[in-house]
Amino acid sequence: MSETSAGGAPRPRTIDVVNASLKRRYARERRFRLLGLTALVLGLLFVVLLFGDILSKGYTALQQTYIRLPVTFEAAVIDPEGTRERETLMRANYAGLIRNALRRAFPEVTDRRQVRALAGMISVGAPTHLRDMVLADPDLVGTTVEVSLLADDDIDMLVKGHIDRTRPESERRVDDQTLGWVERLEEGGRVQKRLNTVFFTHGTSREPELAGIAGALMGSFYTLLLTLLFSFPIGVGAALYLEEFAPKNRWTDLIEVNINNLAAVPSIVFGLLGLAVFIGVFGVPRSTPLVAALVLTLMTLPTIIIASRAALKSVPPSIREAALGVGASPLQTQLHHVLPLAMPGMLTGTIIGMAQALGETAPLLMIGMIAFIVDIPSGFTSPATVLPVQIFLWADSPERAFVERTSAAILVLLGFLILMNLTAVMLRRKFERRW
Amino acid sequence: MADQRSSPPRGDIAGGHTVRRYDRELAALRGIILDMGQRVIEQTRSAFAALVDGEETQAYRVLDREPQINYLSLDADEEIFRVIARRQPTAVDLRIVLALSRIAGNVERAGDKAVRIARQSLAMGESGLAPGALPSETLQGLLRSLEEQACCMFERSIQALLGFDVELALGVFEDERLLVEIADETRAFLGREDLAGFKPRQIVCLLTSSHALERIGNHACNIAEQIIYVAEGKDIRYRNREILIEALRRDRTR
Amino acid sequence: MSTTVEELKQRSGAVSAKELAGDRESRATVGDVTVADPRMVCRAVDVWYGDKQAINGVSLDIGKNEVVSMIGPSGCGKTTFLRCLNRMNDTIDGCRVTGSITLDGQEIYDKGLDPVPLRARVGMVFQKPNPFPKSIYENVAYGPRIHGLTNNRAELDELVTSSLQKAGLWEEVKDRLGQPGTGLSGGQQQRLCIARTIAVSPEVILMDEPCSALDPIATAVIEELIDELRANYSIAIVTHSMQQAARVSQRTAYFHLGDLIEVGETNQIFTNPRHKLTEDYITGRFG
Repeated sequence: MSETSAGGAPRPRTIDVVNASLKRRYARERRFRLLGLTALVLGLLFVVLLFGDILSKGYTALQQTYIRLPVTFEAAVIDPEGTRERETLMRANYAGLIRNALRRAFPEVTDRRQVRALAGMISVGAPTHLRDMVLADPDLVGTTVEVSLLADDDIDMLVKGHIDRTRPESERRVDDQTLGWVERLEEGGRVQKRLNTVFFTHGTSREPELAGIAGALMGSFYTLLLTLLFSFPIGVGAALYLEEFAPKNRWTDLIEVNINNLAAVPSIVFGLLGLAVFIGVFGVPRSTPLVAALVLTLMTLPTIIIASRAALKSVPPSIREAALGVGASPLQTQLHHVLPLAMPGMLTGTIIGMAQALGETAPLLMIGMIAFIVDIPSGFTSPATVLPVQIFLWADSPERAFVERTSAAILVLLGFLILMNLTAVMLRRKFERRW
Repeated sequence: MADQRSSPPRGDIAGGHTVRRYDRELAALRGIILDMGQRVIEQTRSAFAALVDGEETQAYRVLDREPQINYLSLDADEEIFRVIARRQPTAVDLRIVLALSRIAGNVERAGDKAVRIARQSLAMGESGLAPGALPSETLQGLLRSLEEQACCMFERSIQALLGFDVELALGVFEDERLLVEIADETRAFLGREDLAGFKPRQIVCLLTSSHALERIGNHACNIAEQIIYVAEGKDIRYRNREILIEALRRDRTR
Repeated sequence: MSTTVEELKQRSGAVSAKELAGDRESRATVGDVTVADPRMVCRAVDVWYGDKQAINGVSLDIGKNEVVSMIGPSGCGKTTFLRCLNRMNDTIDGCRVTGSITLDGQEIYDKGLDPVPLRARVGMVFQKPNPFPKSIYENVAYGPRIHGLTNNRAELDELVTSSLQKAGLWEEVKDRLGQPGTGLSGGQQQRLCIARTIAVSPEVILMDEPCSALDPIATAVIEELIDELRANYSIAIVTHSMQQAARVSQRTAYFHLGDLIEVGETNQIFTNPRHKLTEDYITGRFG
């Protein structure tokens, strides 16, 4: 088979040519792999940096500083007439009790200004805590109990080490006097760090030590639930019709192009649309999960439709032919055979769309979700905020204590996103194509 | 013959397959049979020369060369098996293979007839006939035209095989009548009582030889039948020749 | 094909002058397209995909209890024609069918005729074995279930059993009816598809290259099955394997570039085709 070229010189054997170029080819391959690996490592590095930063800032929010003080529930202060009426108990001056307790702890402090500073160490939420204790058990009146009182956010920061005690007083948020008190309390073992339950059970607040994400979480939950209920049936239905039933003509082409374009529209535009149409025209109450869900539905629909169409396309036509061949009607073909096979892909698309909706902020700002809402929402039409908006709001707040809470809220949001993406992956694994 | 084996003529119905190897196999098979046919004609001519001109060496050469034809026929059979097993011929290809198989048989048997003539010529010599001449000019003429006719028919039938030429094959059919006439005349001549200068043994030899020549002509007709079978797809064996020729001619001129 | 014209002149008396000039419009079919006892009758069927004509005036009968095979080179329209017979082409956009196709005398392309029940009467087996990704039982039971052919579970069980038996698959799968049909071997899958088709008791079974994805043994099993099914059904089979056409069918139709060139008894087509194109194709001289 050795052929000679026209010139008469024997052509080099193929294997020699191949061997000569082999080294270069392998080198190129190695370079390419190295490049890919570098890109991957860089990407991972950024992810680790991001997560590390958030984690390092956020994990301290899981703890909260409390100051343990013996509080005397003086009957003279709480219930001078001894009626033990609920109304009276509600209105009593619990802040005074705290002040008295502090004064007993620091007997040398007598100046009114100093006493006020002393009381400032305790959170403004602490009197409410005492009130709740008394309301739960009126027999406390007249007794002295060791109570852990929620510390003010500055004290919290100081105890957690976020405020440097060695810096000069003028550069510190806590003055030397208060620092001295705190150190005395610490020496007396009266400063404790406990699990921060407030963060998970309270709505937002102006006071960082009283601010929680429960309200935002519930808002996000209601919003997502509604979004799912709206967008999944509509999206799957639209995809099914477009892919399987609609005639292929200029109109359907136009619709398809528009759907693809919608997926690329900046999300704030959907917010403006929601503001103008849902709130302006239809009068849907603003800053409610309902209107948020409507807007987010508009936003996630293109994603779901595109993913669903891709899933439908990936179902082999032989299955459709088989069903039609035994005499199934087109709808039966779709419902009995095509849809079950396309479902994992559709669900994956939907979950990714939902994750997108969960993380969305911009359009919700337009429809009033930015309002300061302390109450935990109780339904689809009660005013609410959502996690990303909450994060946005806290990130804007000046208090040092909000920084760790912002990070903690981001952690919670990321956790949910990862959970949803994992679910998508699991679904795909479980229903891996079986044909 | 060599060029026949290597490349079949363009437009040949045995050629033109997408798998060119198939063409070559069919061409090779046909080449073997063409080769056999040429050899048979040579054998007949040699044997006849031995018979009429008394050339004994020619007769021995015929006997010597006979096995080659037999070997070729074995080769042809083997080739046919191979083509059937490997190519599963259909339609015209199937007819070609089938016909070539039958033609090979006919050619081989025609070769046997040449050997028979050679044997008769040797027997004639043993029985004392002077080498070089048959005593009767008439008989010689009759035998010569019989040989001429048979060989001509056989040669044309082999030639027709080249392109499965129906026209040539029909010509062979048409010549058959003449062949029979000459053969009859020869037999009649040999059967005459006043035949001078021949021993009865020699007359038997001559009768056998003339019969063998006639048979060679018949084999040529059988080959022509197969050629028509390939070309027209009709099996025309055992049919009345005259009506058949007329019908085929009519078909072709229409 | 320099010899075509001459050969055509020699061989087929039915060839018109136009055809010799290469005019596609009037290429007449050689041989008898009719049968004495037809199940389906197709007359002058044209199929268009948009502006492109895929089938050109094809007329062909499919007789009762016979296997008609359709052969021809790729793109000759044989599959397209087969898919006309149960209106599978309806699912293709821009496909237009004219002419007449009747099933037991009833026009199947009538405006009022529903293709869904038609497909229950004219079943189809596809090139690639395509069982549903469900259990073996469900595969066979699906057709009867959607058409409501059985009244209760026992009847359905019996129908599934008998269909699998007829498809020659029962012995192999009777112990694992609950397992997915996609887990069977290729040949078994194809027989499962045949069982699924005959479970709805069609009158005609269309087979589109049913053995092209199978090994020779599985092919032989299917061919034997086709021969058995002939007793109860009319079968039209498209195949690329000429040997297969020769083995399984009673009549053979040769398609070429959308034309039906020749129809005849399979014996005749494979020993002595009358049209030069047919002969070139079946002897391997095509192209």
